[in-house]
Amino acid sequence: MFAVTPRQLTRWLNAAYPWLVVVTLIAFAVGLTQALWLSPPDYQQGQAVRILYVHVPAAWLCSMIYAGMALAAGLAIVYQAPLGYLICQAAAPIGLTMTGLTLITGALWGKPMWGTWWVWDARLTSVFVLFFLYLSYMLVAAQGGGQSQRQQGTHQGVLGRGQKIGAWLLVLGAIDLPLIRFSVEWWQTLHQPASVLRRGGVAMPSSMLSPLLWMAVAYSGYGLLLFRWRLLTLLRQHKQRAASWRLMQPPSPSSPPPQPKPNQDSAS
Amino acid sequence: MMATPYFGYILSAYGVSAFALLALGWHSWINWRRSQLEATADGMTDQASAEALPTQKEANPHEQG
Repeated sequence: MFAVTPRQLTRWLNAAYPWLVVVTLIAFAVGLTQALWLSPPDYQQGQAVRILYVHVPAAWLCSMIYAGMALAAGLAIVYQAPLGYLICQAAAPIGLTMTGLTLITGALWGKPMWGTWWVWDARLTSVFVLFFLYLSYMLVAAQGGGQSQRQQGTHQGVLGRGQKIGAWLLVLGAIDLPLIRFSVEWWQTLHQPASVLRRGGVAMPSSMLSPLLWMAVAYSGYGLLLFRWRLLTLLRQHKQRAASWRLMQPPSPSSPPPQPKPNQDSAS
Repeated sequence: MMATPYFGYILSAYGVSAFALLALGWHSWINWRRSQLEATADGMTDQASAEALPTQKEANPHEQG
């Protein structure tokens, strides 16, 4: 069973909204201050280590967002829950942006540290594949047509066949996530192994771990804010499309006329 | 600050990140705000929008039989 209903999710997002704004602003203020001024230069990387404070949070998020999307897509396929499709549609541009930032900031760090913008090693290539997985999903899901006559007017018909194919693409593409995570352990790569999420504890001084974690909180909070705005917009568009389709249809003799329902909830 | 080693790389990384995140944020917020204003004019709240989206088999009544 798809445990979270659209109504519940909307309520949670609205309740968390002011807290998210406050936490995100504080985390960005503290994180950027530490990342740019207070944290020391690395003994090997020098000042270039500051690039990692925007590279690593984006890298963490692009994988986590994809994992969440693949889970939502799987549930949407199994339980035929439209909310799962809309969650994927709302999160995809955020994941694509994070993946793009991971690649760009990684290249900007790689040039002074490795002497090259790019190498086709396992970690960089698997993240590059993730970027195209996001892009492919967005292109496929944007294809709304293809619904059969019997599906038209249902919520599935409003969503379109592209959403369903896109959900399958997300589920199948999830094979890339363990490749990203373990690529630095399974193969010899130019990319260094994990420093934070590793067996044996964190291999980083607290003066550098602190800005990294603050920036990770800031990126996560900001990502959730974006997700809330995008999902609520999609829910409204979905309702308007379904309503406009119903208005165009002649009344069915077998179904009773729809009764107007008063709105008891307040807007956010 | 300009004398900091790798200043150009650091500025580029933070500049690109800020631009991309703010651009996506602006796009997401303005669309949400616009839809909220339209929905408010129609008397539709966030909760009402959410209620319009059924779960599970309710979404596909034709596929149950």
